Amino acid sequence: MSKRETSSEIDEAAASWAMRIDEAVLGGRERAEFERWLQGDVRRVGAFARAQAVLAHVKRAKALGSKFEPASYSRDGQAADNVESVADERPEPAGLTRRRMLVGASAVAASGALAFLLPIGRASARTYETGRGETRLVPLEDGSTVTLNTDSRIAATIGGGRRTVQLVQGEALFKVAGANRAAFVVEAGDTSLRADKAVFAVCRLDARPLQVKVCEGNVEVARGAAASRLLHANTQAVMPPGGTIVERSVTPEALQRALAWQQGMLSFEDTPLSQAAAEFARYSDRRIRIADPGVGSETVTGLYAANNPEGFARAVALGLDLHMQTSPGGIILTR
Amino acid sequence: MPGGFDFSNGRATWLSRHILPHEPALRAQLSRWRVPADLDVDDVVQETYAKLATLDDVDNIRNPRAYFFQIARSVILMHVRRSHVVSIQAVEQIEQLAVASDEPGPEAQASDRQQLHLLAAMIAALPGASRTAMTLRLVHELSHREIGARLGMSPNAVQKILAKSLSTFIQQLGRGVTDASQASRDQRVRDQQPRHVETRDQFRD
Repeated sequence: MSKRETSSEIDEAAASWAMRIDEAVLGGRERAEFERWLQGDVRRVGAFARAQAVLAHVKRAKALGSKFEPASYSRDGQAADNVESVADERPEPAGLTRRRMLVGASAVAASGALAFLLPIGRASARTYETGRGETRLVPLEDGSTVTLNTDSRIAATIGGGRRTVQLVQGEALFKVAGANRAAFVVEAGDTSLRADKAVFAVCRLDARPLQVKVCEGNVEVARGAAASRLLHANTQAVMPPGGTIVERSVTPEALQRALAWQQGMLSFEDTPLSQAAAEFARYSDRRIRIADPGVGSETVTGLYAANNPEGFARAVALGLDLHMQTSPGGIILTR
Repeated sequence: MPGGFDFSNGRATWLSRHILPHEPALRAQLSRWRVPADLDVDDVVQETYAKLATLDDVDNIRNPRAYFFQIARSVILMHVRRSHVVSIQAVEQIEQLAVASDEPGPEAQASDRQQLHLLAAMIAALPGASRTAMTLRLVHELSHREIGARLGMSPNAVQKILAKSLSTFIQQLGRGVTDASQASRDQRVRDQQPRHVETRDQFRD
């Protein structure tokens, strides 16, 4: 085995990469070389991060202005007045555009570098989650947004040519920003959904098949080794285990109702009571129990507040002529 | 810094604002902690930065300085636990150490103007071509190719001297140099293995 690389050797290499990445986007081969280098030793990750931090710090020297003369500065010794005057100088608008463009280019390169940097230890993925009864709007760095429904978790990796969100559990509505970017990929178990400029919801719950609702744009579904399928707007697809995809078209209104959870509401249309009760159980610890199966198959229709199972049960008891009993354990509906 | 930059390069900016100013204090602390002899302080510092760079989120870190120290401590502990050479006493010694004080170090309180002055001094203290290249890169934001054209060098050579200058800055900022011209001379003097004691006369107090 070769001699252990010293920390100052690592610092030098890190400085070199930081300067290169600051100036221009790395090409494919260089990028691979950089990734290999970075992954070779945890100290390199730290050294590179510090080199970038130092570079970010010294870039403040831009405030010295274009009249800054380092050669005379050193001879003058304490040239504090000099600094003050150039620091106050406003950049002249004429030469601005080009400079700003250059800064922009290095910003892109730097964000790429961080995206490389972060996959070490799988830390690049940022996790967002909601508790029971919560919803949360998550803006992503690429301009897309994700709305998380109750008790849901995603891990988003955005940057470095990747836009991947893993739906770990629960339900999320994706509004994908488009235009000249890498495809936006949602991964849910063995299923991956690719889209560019689309609005779609994915629901992944234990004991239920994966469900996708496409509101706008197209979503390409791939499951395991099977050929992928394109889902168009106003489609709902259910994916039971075994690789099949069962799709049907739905009206935009029906989709809006199904996504009423964004406003904290649950919408039912001739939905069996047992199914509605199971839906409420996703949003609250307070369970609705149905005493006999005959009652469970009665259907309900209407818009209800997701966080108020009691209100729902009361309305249902009234409409279906049921008896409602509340206890610390939950709500029981009986005939 | 222009708006767009801050966002995309957020972690580097955060590190430069909240961690980098405390590196000299951390190094001082590390020497007080008597890091086990088989463990290199520079390695500890790099690993500490690696942890900070790969954190999911730094938004909730209220006291970056204390956090920085705490991570460094955990890096040392991890190494100590892993190596069987070190006695259990060493572990206890480190574990008993109080977490660093909450007060920001004096280096964090330097004003923007002082910082800018220090930056100017650091650049001014670089040797000839490096100084010009770094000024063209940082202040005028020219590309390596454009700098090369002015200095009669290849873009590759420009990249090399810029990287070397950045290495110098990494050393200086990490070790808390308050007078860059002194540090740079110090470095050069060390490189040349000075024979004369009177080189000291050049140093300001």
